[in-house]
Amino acid sequence: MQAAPQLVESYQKDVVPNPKVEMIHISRDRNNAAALKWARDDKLPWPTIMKDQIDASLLTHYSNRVPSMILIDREGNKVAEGKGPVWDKIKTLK
Amino acid sequence: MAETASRTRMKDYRAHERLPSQQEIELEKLPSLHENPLGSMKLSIKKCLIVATALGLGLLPARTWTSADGTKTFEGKLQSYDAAEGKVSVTVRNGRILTFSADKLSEADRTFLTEEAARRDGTTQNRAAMEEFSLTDIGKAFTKMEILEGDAFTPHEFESVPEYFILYYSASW
Repeated sequence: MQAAPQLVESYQKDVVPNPKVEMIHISRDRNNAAALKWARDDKLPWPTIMKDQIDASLLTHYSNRVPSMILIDREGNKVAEGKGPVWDKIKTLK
Repeated sequence: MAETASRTRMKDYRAHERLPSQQEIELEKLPSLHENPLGSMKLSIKKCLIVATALGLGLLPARTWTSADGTKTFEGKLQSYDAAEGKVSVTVRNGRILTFSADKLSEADRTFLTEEAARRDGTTQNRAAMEEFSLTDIGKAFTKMEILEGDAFTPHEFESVPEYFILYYSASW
């Protein structure tokens, strides 16, 4: 599975200029080398958390599907799920 | 929260550790205009206490300061500005620290001080918010972020705390 170029474009257009929101890639790659190769190949611009760091955190509780996209607030409350609803919501966060 | 804010302030005032917490300055007795660039302004500050509540301003470049009447100027780096007390500390080129009332300075200098104080206050609040967030469960989960720089991942931190986070679960396979 590769990051759609459209997602990188959407990130640059809708997330980067908005200080209220950031996208974090929760890597489900089995090892860091694979995650790095993908990031290099597709020039992924967002922050990433590697699998070995995720397993010890609450980030495992939000989703066990790949790919999936969840919008949460600072308190960890789920606000939206799925790319369409997530993007609809962040466009209202100005 | 109070503890967090306190720790943040401690970090901010690190630059002041070179300053004594209390310092007596009698500007009228400074020996020359070089050392007392405000000269005949007859500053009335005597035995001024530089209180620990002074607002830290970090390392700023030297700038030209102008007296309120516009007749005198001097070069110096802003060390601190206590907005509540209206006291300014400036390091002049011989390394001496002068402390005087902000009202002895030109309007432009006073505007500069106000803007610097506001800028610093915003930075301090942001740091406090960052520290507070880092102690939350979500904040702890984001302490190990990395981002691609060149051909390698490097550690990454938020510059400020976003209100929302998109969690994008994905993989290369």
